Amino acid sequence: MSKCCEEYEDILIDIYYGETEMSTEIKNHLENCSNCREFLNEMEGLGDQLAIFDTDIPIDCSLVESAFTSVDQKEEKKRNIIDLLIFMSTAIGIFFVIFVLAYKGYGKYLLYGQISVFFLAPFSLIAFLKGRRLKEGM
Amino acid sequence: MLEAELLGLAKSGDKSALKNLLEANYNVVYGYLLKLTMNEDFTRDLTQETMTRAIVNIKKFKGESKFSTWLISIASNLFKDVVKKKGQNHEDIDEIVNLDAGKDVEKAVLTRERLMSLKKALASIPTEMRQAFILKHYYNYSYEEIAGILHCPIGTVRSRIHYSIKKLKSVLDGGISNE
Amino acid sequence: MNDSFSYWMLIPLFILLFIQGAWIFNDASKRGHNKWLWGFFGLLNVPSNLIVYLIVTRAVPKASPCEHCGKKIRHDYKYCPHCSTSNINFGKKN
Repeated sequence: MSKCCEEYEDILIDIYYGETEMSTEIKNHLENCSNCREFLNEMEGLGDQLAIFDTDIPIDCSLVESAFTSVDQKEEKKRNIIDLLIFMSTAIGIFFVIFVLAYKGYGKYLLYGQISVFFLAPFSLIAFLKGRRLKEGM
Repeated sequence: MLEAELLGLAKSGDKSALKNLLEANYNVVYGYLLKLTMNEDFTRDLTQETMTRAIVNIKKFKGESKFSTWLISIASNLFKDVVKKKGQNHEDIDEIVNLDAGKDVEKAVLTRERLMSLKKALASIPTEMRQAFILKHYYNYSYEEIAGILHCPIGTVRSRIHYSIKKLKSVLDGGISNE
Repeated sequence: MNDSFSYWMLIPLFILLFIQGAWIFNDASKRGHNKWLWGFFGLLNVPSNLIVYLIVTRAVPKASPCEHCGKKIRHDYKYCPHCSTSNINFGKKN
């Protein structure tokens, strides 16, 4: 008895969930086999028990917001990396030009330029600091 | 507003339409992940990541299925990826904290016990099997739809669901006979 | 002869400037400053421009408008000094 009903268990499950039609063969079997009828009843009981889990879930709007924020953050990061690569290639380009200039013999002027920038640094510091303090409202 | 209208707006970049869509389907995704993982914290993280992925890929969604189904397949794939990365260390099952005490304290305690034993029963099923079972029993997707969501043949879906039900029965019946 | 001596020495200098410029660019983008301006500034001279950048960005704390009264609050303040509402931007590095 139990062996035959094990085969039927799978089909009964499918029938319970509406995946298969109940054929006349199975209907006849059910009329004779109490084990299988019990199995179907247990399925119903199982359904009732499992229904405890179907509680109402409160919608957490902050979670949805955070999802949007994280998407924005990821895009910003990608943007920053692309910009950094653009910057790096531009820098290499500039250096290449300077190198060529030096090769052609203009190295002296470049050196003068560097030295003057070096001395201008403290002045630029004061100018930038003032600008920043203004910007941040101090 | 109809889902189709909202979807059209969302695909063209309307952020609030997308937000509405996500909020409307929040229950579905969260509930599914909660039943799958049995852990609130893990579920929150997964739900947020699912929504992030949905936002990023919204233009790729063609609308041939329901929006909720699409979200569930994203969640299933995400879950699979996370499990693969973390290995099979099982997350702890939540002890149920919220007690709807109401008037009948005894009834509440009984419900809590039942809920806990049911949780343990569900947790005893391996996650792959549990996934198929949850999709069938709680969301009533057809075997074919489940096979599409989980990317596995229909036969596998059937056997997983059968296994889950038999395992559930044996665990729950075992509990009852112990009383 | 003097020329051939000078231009190969530029290579290590370029490497230094490149690293400095790239680092300043990255740091400025993380902190919300104008990365392009500071990046190219960092390519001009090492290490003086780096020192200028560090002082300018670290010495003045960032501030954003308070949502309640509109006056600017520093990001390392927990509460607005004018209207006492809590600062939403507290701890923000940007």
